[in-house]
Amino acid sequence: MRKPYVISSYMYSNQIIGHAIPAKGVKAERDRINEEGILRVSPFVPERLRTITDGNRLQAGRMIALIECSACHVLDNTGLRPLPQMVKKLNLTNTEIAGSVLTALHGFPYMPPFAGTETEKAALAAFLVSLNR
Amino acid sequence: MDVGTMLKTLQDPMGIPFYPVLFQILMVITFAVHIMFVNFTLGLSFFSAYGFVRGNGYWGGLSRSLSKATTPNASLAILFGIAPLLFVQVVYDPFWYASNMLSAAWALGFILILMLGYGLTYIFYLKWGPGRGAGFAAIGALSFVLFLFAGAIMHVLGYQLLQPEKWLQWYVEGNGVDASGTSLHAFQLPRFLHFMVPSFAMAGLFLMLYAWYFKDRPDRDREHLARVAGAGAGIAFFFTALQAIVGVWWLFSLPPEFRFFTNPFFLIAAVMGVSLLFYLYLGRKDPFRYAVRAGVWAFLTIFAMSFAREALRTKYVGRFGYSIFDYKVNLDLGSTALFLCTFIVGVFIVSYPVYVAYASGRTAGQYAASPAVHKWGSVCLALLLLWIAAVAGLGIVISVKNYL
Repeated sequence: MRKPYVISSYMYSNQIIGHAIPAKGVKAERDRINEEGILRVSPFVPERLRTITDGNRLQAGRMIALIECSACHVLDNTGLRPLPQMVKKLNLTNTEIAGSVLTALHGFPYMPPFAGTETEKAALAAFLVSLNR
Repeated sequence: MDVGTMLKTLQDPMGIPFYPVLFQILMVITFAVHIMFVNFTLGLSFFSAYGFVRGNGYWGGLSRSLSKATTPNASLAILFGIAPLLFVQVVYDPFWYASNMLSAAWALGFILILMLGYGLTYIFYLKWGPGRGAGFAAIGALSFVLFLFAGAIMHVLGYQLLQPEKWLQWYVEGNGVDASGTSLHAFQLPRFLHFMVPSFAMAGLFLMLYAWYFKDRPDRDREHLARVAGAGAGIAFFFTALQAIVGVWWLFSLPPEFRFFTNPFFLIAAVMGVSLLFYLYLGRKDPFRYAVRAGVWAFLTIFAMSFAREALRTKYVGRFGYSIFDYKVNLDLGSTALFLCTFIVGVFIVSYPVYVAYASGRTAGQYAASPAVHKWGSVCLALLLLWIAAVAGLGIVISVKNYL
């Protein structure tokens, strides 16, 4: 089974390198992203979203969703596996529940684990909950 | 994040399987072949529609021939477009993919636009007839416009690629980002024209080669061919001169700090371009004699221009410390050897049908191959079978090995 990878046992569907390939001198990115944050290491992030504040939390969460989720889920209501519908189906009504779903992702056989800091996870959770309207 | 770090981050961490210079040379060579056929396609589709409008006589007959010639040129342009596309993805991957993502809708739309233009060339060729009204020319003209549009999209993708310092500002929109990919962000008219104007010159050259090709066939009207050759030489000269003017315009539009006019690759290309112009000037007096030599010189000029284009790209990307020669190499001799063998064997195998097509077209009536040509065909067929056995065998062996 290929999922959750785009290249089996190496690169996740969101292009984050999950596992090192020592023979090619490739390191895994996950630990670094968990430590520094996805918004810090990704090239295409507006500077004002690199640090999460109370003022930009939802926008930062949306940015994280674009980077980590949008390879498989559209952020709009219609299209391929829309996030708003997923959120409603799971009935994510508060950020704690949404956050624990994100934490549990590494146990899903067909979805990549969440990569990023705890603050980023909370921002993504807040964004997901905001879709449940 | 500064632009240099961004570009490094976007590179493939796996590295590349052989030294970058190989990819660079192959990219330039295959691009030269590609753009030559692009120019043929654009030029021929234009003159086939133009000839149809001009009526049933000399231009009408020419329109018929050119409409027929457009289709294989379009397919060769597409075929030879794949190779430089792959090479650019290998050594300039941060640039090419970023540019494509920024205008993703157009990068995909390009394929549809090209398919539509290509399809219309077939309709124009197959439904061509003297009884059709002038409106029929619109089909040919539309295919030309669609090809031109496809060229404009490729130009934008290739030009956005050179400006990584602007990518983020194109992407950021208000407090969020524009992930739609529906915008085209950069267009440089002289650069675009420098790719497109040669299309008409190449169509003129095509007419010269067309006349030269059929001149020894007894069933062809020599007077008609002489007129075609003369018209071709005139068109080729005029548009090559225009191309020189566009070239100067484009040169002045470049960032002055590049000092590109002192670049040896540019200077060689420019000297070749000017000498081609001189050669075409002479060729107008005896187009039959000059056709092949002018054709060869034109291709070499395109080749030199392609090298100059790459030299210019190294200037653009060098502003941020990027050089393909710093690319991480994970040497993989096996796959490189297989690739090069396929390339050499492929060229040899293709030489046979190309020769047979060439020889049969020059023969009035039925073409009979000599025993030597027959033998050549058998050798090519044997090589093809050997290649299939080797590639399929290797694939099976590796797949089995991976699961043991």
